[in-house]
Amino acid sequence: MASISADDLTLGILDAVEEGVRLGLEEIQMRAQKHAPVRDVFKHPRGRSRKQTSADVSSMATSRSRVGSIATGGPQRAYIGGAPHVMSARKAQQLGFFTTGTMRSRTGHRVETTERGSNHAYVGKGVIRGRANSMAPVVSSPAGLIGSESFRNWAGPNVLEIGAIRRGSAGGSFQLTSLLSARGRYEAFGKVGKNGERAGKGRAVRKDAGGQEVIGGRLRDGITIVGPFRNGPEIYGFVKAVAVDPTSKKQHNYATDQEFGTRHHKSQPFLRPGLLESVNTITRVTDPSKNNHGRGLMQKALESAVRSGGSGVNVPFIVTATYVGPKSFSNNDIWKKLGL
Amino acid sequence: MTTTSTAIKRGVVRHARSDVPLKTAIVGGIHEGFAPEKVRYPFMVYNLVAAPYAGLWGSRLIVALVDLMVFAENGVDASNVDQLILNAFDGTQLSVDGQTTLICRRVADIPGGPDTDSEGKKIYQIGGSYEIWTDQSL
Repeated sequence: MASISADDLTLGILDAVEEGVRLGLEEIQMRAQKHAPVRDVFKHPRGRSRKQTSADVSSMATSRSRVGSIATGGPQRAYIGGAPHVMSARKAQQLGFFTTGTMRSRTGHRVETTERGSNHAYVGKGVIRGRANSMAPVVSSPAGLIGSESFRNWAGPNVLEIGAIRRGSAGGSFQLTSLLSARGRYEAFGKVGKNGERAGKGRAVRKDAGGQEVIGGRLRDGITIVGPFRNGPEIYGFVKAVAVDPTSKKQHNYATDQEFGTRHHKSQPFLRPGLLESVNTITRVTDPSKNNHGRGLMQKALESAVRSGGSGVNVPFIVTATYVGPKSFSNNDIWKKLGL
Repeated sequence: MTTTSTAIKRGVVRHARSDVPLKTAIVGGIHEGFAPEKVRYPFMVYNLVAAPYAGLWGSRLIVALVDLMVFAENGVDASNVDQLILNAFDGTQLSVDGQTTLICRRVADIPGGPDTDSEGKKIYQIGGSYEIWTDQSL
């Protein structure tokens, strides 16, 4: 029979609770990110309002995934790379069946159609080859281009555009359709000044943690976990949201505006729904003897600790989850006290 | 008949309208989400934040969080109306179609800094979050 000292047991339980708190914070963060409003930079069905609901965001998840990480179903982002951006070109004389043509992208990249007789649309670095009117999907990427069906299994980071080569009604026009809306194109391909910065809303383009340029999702990526911390027997942590519009001089954290609304803007809460939806998942307690799979995250963490301690100790615990008000959104006293 | 969180929103508006001091004070009326530009101040805005369901044996518990805020041209008016909202809703027994209200209480303040409206006027936004627990048999 294994034995365990009271001190070791206490430490083990505290470690388990800390792990449970961490799992709970991750759960809240994940749900908050799901609810976080994302600016619409992709095309959407005609007649749809620009104001997005969480349902709108969900409905565009496929488009975002296709432009971002395709196969992994990873972060739904639009990556901006050095790939050519082609909206349209009208050189009909060069775009007869199986003829060679060239066109320039908006960013000045040379794009060619050179593949005579090919049945596949595919792309090389800086080059798009394809058969007019083939409707075969292509993806342009500086890492080399992916055409036909293979792009569906590709998870590279620099996908810029996905579209289809087709011949328009004007007879021989050549077009690569874009998933980006006009606003998205404006933000993604805004003018770059002498200092290398984009002008106006173009500054909304930013780099993610991996150094990739992305548009959209600033608020969602600004939802982070702080903690967990220990203060004697109390273990706690925060989920906070910080998002500052780079085009504003006021350095205002607009996460608060989204959560609570303003005179001009309806609220689109994300942190509190994330919390409320997570409470049950975190704190639910069921009888382990009944092999019930509905355990909460905290109970799972504690049971795991008790098992590793070799004891059948039944530990009573209290878990609460609450939000601490709008102050948690900004750099306020709470963070100063924590030395953050 | 089972009902959803829409019935809770309806119950909130019905209760606000039935409270005479509050109804008199909010000359701009009650709005969901946000109010049009030309609405007179002060006015009240409500918004359903979330309403997750919890299934119990034979019944369903809805824990709804509703923001009730007032927009006014000065902070005193805003605070006064916010107090009226608190008086009307904190600890009250809401009438919700198809559901029994278990709890209706204010759980947090929403202090908003002054903002400017489309005419450049300073606008004060003050309010609170109210937790409303309802139960309905299935």
